[in-house]
Amino acid sequence: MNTTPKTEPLTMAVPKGRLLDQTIEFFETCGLNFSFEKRSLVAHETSGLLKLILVKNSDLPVYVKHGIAGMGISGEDTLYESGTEFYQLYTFNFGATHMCLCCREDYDPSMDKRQLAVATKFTRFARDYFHGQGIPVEIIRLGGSVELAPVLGLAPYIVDLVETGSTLRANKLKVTKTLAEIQVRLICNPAYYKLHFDRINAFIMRLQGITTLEMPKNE
Amino acid sequence: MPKKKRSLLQIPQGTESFYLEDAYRHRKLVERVTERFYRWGYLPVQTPIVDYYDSYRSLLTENADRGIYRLIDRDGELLMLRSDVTLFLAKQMGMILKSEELPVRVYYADTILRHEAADDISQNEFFQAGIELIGREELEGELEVLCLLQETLATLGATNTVTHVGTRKLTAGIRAKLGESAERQLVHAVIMRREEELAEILTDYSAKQREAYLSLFRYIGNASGLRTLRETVAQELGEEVTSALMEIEHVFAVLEELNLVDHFRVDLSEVGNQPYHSGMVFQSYMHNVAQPVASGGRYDGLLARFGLDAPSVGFACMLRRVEEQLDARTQPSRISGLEPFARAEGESFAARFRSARQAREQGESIVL
Repeated sequence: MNTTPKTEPLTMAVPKGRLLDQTIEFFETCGLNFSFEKRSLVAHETSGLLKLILVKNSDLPVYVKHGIAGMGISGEDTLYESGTEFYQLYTFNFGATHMCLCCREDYDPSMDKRQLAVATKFTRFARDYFHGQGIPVEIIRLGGSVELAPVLGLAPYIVDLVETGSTLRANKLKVTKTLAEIQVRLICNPAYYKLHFDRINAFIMRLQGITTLEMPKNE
Repeated sequence: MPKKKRSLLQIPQGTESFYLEDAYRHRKLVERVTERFYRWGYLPVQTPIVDYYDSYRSLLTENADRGIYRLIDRDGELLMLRSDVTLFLAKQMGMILKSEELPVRVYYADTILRHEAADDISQNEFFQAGIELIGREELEGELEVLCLLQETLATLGATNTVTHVGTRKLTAGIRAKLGESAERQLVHAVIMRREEELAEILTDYSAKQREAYLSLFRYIGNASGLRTLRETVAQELGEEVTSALMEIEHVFAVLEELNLVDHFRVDLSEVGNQPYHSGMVFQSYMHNVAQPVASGGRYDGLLARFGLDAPSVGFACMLRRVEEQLDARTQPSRISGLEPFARAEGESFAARFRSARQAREQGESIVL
């Protein structure tokens, strides 16, 4: 882990993009402000309590697992796909979405074959979900633009995140079933937590609005 | 990529090879650690690299089972490669020791093999050095092992470590009430600090008992904080839990007397991740290492599975995890570069041989 005892700030990986903006906005409401250097992928909380490391969303669990960042902010979808268990210390009140099974608006379910075919980025989730229901499933892995799969005939169904549904509507798709609610979580490498537990607990209390006291620097 | 080329360029996941300076440093550290074990009266044991899978099947967690390399021998028996020295050692000791020989102290330092995902370098569990104290039932067993663990880490130069101590006994009452399957779920939820899941598993308990358990499982701190907590939960959780907590307090009182207590913390979310854990358990954490560097505890029923009903307590240190983080100043003197040794002087081979022999007698390392 890239921390040393006592003086170094707590480290946290945050995914680049919209979740980063929401995180910074939320942290500001907790009195935590960050200075960003131009084009830098590292940001420091102005009082030295926290260092943010900006990473690609799907890589975030890797950085936390290997201790490069002690903590991280990630959607449950990304965490599930990583196959790694972390401490989940806090649930944010932003970024929630749904994992849904979708198909074309004009699709007739009576056309379903014996084995369900599903195109998705979330292969681990999709496989475990359908196997958990006792349904055999053929998973087709895609890296993006999953909505194209039913439109072009690659697979009748997709499993994907749906927030407002506008992308689905634009591609004449509909939600067949909501499979899970997806929250944004504060995760932590278990060994990092054990070494910094009192500072991390104080940080979480601050997020919860329980205290705005300065966090202890020693453990 | 052609198959042959790939097989030359990589080795199977879960194994490693290291060379020259790294290998030299590793061996020196192993020497230091095993010398320390010997000074505490521990004798070496060598476990087989492969054994019958059936002997251990019921003792493996789902995760451990997934990481095992299996093979089939010529008689069709399913074998497993050594993935955890403790288990193989338990079988050996259980089969050969007699109760009148106890207590017995043994140490090991050996490679283990576990499968890892191709992109996963974080486990780094290739070499375990550890000890087993067999036949000591009393808390002095735990104390001996904890003190030796601390001395081992200090011997390695791993000074920035802290060992978190908890006990599996906290879940024994829950197992009796809710069954083994519920206890397994509970242990996992405790280790991962999942309070909502814990509350769900404990729904058969009263709200006060549930809250008492939750306050225990989230506790990390010192012994005096534990004492206060024990007094608060004593009425709700009864004799068994109270006495398990008092055992930890006693151990910490002795550690304090020995001026060792700063290296330890009470952590009641440490309940042991092995199905055979039965009492006090612990894990050591080191700054800049993303996984525990040592773990251990009491497993009184384990040897009985192999024929010897004797209590046992011990630890295993994941030496390779520690090695990579050691400060260069604390490492054993090491060779540097590809030509690190002095060359013997002399024109003929015989002259160089004679001068080298003389230098070696003075304790030098020299090449011909």
